[in-house]
Parts: sequence; structure tokens; C-alpha cells
Amino acid sequence: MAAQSEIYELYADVLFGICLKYSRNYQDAEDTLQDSFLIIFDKITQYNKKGSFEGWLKRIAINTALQKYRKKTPLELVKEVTEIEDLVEIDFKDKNLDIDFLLNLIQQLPDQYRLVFNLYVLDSYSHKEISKMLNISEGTSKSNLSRARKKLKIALETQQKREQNA
Amino acid sequence: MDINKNIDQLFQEKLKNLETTPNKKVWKEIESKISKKKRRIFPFWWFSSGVAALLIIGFFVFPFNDTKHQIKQNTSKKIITKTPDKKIDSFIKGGAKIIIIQKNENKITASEKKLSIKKRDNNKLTIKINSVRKETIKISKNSVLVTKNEKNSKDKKPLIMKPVLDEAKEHQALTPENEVASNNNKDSKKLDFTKSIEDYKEEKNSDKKSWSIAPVFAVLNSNSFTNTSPIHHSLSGSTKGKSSISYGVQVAYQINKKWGIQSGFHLQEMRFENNQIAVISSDINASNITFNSDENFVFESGDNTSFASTSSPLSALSLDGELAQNYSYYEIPIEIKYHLLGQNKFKTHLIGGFSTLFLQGNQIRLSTSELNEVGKATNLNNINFSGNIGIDLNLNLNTNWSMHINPMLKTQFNTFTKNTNRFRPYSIGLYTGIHYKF
Repeated sequence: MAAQSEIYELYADVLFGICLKYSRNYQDAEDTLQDSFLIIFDKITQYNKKGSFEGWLKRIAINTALQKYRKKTPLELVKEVTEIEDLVEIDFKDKNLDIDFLLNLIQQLPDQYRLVFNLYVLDSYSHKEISKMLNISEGTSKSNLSRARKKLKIALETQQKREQNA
Repeated sequence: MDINKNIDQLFQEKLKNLETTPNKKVWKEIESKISKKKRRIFPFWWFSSGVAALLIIGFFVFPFNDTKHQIKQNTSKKIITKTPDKKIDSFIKGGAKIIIIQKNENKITASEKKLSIKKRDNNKLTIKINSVRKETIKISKNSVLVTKNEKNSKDKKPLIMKPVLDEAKEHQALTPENEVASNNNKDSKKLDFTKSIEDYKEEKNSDKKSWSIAPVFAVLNSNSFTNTSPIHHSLSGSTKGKSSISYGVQVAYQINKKWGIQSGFHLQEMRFENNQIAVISSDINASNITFNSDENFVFESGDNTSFASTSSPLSALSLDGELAQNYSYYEIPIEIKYHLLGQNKFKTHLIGGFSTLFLQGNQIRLSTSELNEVGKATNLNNINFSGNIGIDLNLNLNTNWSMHINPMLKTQFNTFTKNTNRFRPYSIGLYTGIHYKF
């Protein structure tokens, strides 16, 4: 038990960060964190010492989250969507945007948009990898990403206008 | 595109390395779940593997001679005994016999000797011993056993002589060999001479050989308490146990006349078969098999009732499929033997115990007229346990060799991880082997 608690102490913060980004809300993130650690302690003997331990732990947390929100249907309608980029310039240089606010935006995205956005933008997975992880086509992954960006952009714009009006 | 990069950058900057301390209750829950799990995976029969290990260690640490009756001692030392006066008188009158067993590095010498006792003064006696008979037995440890033959003592009471090792005191009174002197020195090392040579001889025969080792071979028949299939729920009713084999080495230790303990190392195979099944190609893996070819199949039991209800026979690839499941274990049993009936030549024991089973082989073969596939069951546990019960019939061939026939029933407790469809395998086996005792 001592070893487990040590691992938890060391990595809980990092993994909880991941769980928050991949989950719908705080409650879900706590559940995912708990499940992740149970899997980690169960499979710790399977960790081959080649990669970094932290990387291994992160992958487990991500996979646990994916498991939770991944669509169950094996068939996925492929919709090739070419989004026309909106050319509105927004000044995102404003560094004062609150972390909680951004996190909240991500959490409010539809499940699959959120997963794709996280995997691609924050955890640097390729569309090919994402398509395998989520059991979707690469095209779906790309279109989900662009829709996620669009939604985020709109949310940010609204926030900015609100601030300008204030 | 810039805007995309902008958005990406913004989120990366703020959230990429997000770290947040979770609520303490999360750890509390994890902790309670781990400890529950730990308790669950420590069933009592885990001890069986522990005891088996101890038995094997014991086999190496306590070698095969009987240390109780042997005293490590240099043979050239004089043996000095302390005896009450009355007994000395009876000695003098009776002319008792003494058996001295001397051990060199590789042999034991049992000498029967006659005592003649001379009084020297109040405290000391010198006893002369004449050699009567000698026996030599080869053995491998350096020690001495001194025994008094009770039957030759006149008053027929067991004479307890306590030898002391005290060379200095008796140096002059004794000649170097074949003499035993007694005095009243209480501080010296004492040894009990309670065993007679008859006992000693008796113990040397086969009964006293407490260790035995045997190559063992068995014919098994795999069975299940239920008629279901561990592979696919729709196959219930068609699973048949087949015969298989087990072989290995058995090590046994006889604790006393009634009780013994045995362990060993065996390879054990289990075989089940489903005949005349419908095989249907499938996109999703609904059975507990992964095939090497990555194909998925769904199975239907051949009997018509269940077939019609679930799927159309049109989609079936074949209706004469044969599914053979083989899995094998390294088995480490720990069993207790209780002597029921029989004397020297023929003995019957009741056997009960547990085995720890380590999964060794796991194969499923699907063959139809069109295709052959090989795969693995995905729901077998790596460590399994079985409860064993049986009767052992043992025939003594001579002092060193015996053979046994041993029908056993072994019920498995922990075969599957999931989707067992309530399949509870057991095996009935006829074990046989030839034992070498030492």
C-alpha cells in the first residue's frame, strides 16, 4: 500500500489535469482518475521500462477517459466536411484568459470533439492515431477537430465582446 | 489557419501542462478498493503453494538420515556414564550387554559387547567390554549411536545410562578402546540410551524411509459440472470433455505411521470439444476466442432448437464445425495422505489437498470442411487452483521400491476471468507411478 500511495502522491496532480481536460465535468474527472489508478496498480507489472513511467501513466489515464466517452457503435457514418474558415480576427494575445474558463470551454464541447481536440492539440497525436483510438475515420477526426475549434472560437469571441461591453 | 494556430496555441499554453490536486476522497476510495481486491485474491488455498515450497525446501535442508537416534561424536572418545549405585550392582550381577554403534564417514558399525565391571573405589567403576558381534551398515553422516540392549538386563527394567564425555577424569583408569566408565559427575553432557538395537534395526527397514520420489503418469478425463461452454454461450449442451494426460514428479514425506504429505511438479492438460456446430463469420468478436488470423466467428450449437431461434442458417459458413479447446497447466499440488487400511505389503491412503496451477498452454482449434483456424481463449486465468481428493493404493515391492495407483478428482476454482457461462471444469484422473524411498 505504501508504494501505491507514493505513486499516487507523485502523479495524481498530472493525471488529474489530464482527466479534467478529457472529461465532461469535475465529477467525471474524479471518477476517471480513480479508474485510471486502479488500472495502473493492476497492470503495473506490465510496464516495460523502455518508455518513461509518466508517459505510461498518462496513456492509461487518456485511454480510461476515451473508454468512457468513445462511441460504442462499430459503424460510423463518414462525413467529409470541409469547413469554410471564418476569417474573423480575434485578439487572443490577451493572456489573462483564465485557465478555469478555458477548461470549462473544453469540457462543454461534445464528447467526441473534446476527445479529438485534446488528443490532437494538447497531446500531439496524429489524425491517423486518433482514428484508431476512437475507432473513427481520419476524415471524421479532422472534421471533428475543425468543428471543435470553431465552437471554441465562437465561445471566445462572445466572451471577448462581453468584456469589451463591460 | 492562423486563427486555428492561435486557438491551438492559446489552449496549449494554458492547458498543456495542467496539474490540479484532486480531492483527498479520491485516494481514500482507491485505497479501499485496492485493499478489498487484495483480500479477494488471497484465498486460503494460496497457502498450498507456500506449503509445497516449504516441503521442497525441507527436502534439501533436512536430508534423509534420522538424526534423532544418532549422536554426533568422535568414535575414538571414551564414553563415560553415570548410573545410580543399585543399577551398577545389577550390572555387575547381570553382565549386561551393550551395543555400540560407531560411525565413520561412510559406514556404521554396530557392535554388541559384554560388560564386566570392576570396582575401583567408592565413586569409580571400570567396566570392561568384550566384543561379541559386529554389524556394519553404510551411511553418510559422522555420528555415534550407543544403545543398551534391554533384554539382556537381568531385572528386565530399562536401564538408563547416561554417558558423559569427560576424557580428563578417566584418563588413567581406562584403556583407549572398548571401555566405559561411570562416575557421578553431574555437569557433563548427557545422553539417553533408551533405544534398543531391535528398535534401531526396525527403524532401518522400509517404514523408516520417510522420503520418496516418483515419476508419475496419469490419464485424465476433463469434465464440467455444468453442460455449458466457456467459449460461447450458445454452445451450451454440446461441450464434451475429452481424455488427456498428466505427467510429472511426485515427492512425498511420511510424517508418522498415519500421516504423510506429498507435493511435486506435474504438467496437466485439459481438453474439451464441441462437435457439429454452426460457424458464422462475424464482424465483432462475441466469443472468448481470438484467432491468429484476426477473423471473428460466432458459433451455434448444432441442435436445432437453439439454432433456429437466434440466427439464420443461411449466413453460416459451415454446419459441421469442430471446436477443440486444449489448455495445460504446470501443477504444484500439496496433499495430505491419511493411512486407511493395510500393512506392510499393501496400503491404502486417503488423499486430500490443493493444487496451484500455472497456465502453460492455451489453444483453440476450429476446423470445418472449409477452413482451419487456430486461436486462443481470452478468458483463462494465468493462475488457477484446484481442490483434490482421491484414494491411493500402494504396493510395496521391496524396501526401496513401491508402486501406486491413485484415482483422483480435481475440481478447479479459478479457471476463467470472465464470461464463463457458469462452466466449472474438473478432471478425473488415474495416476500411477513407481516410488523410490530413501
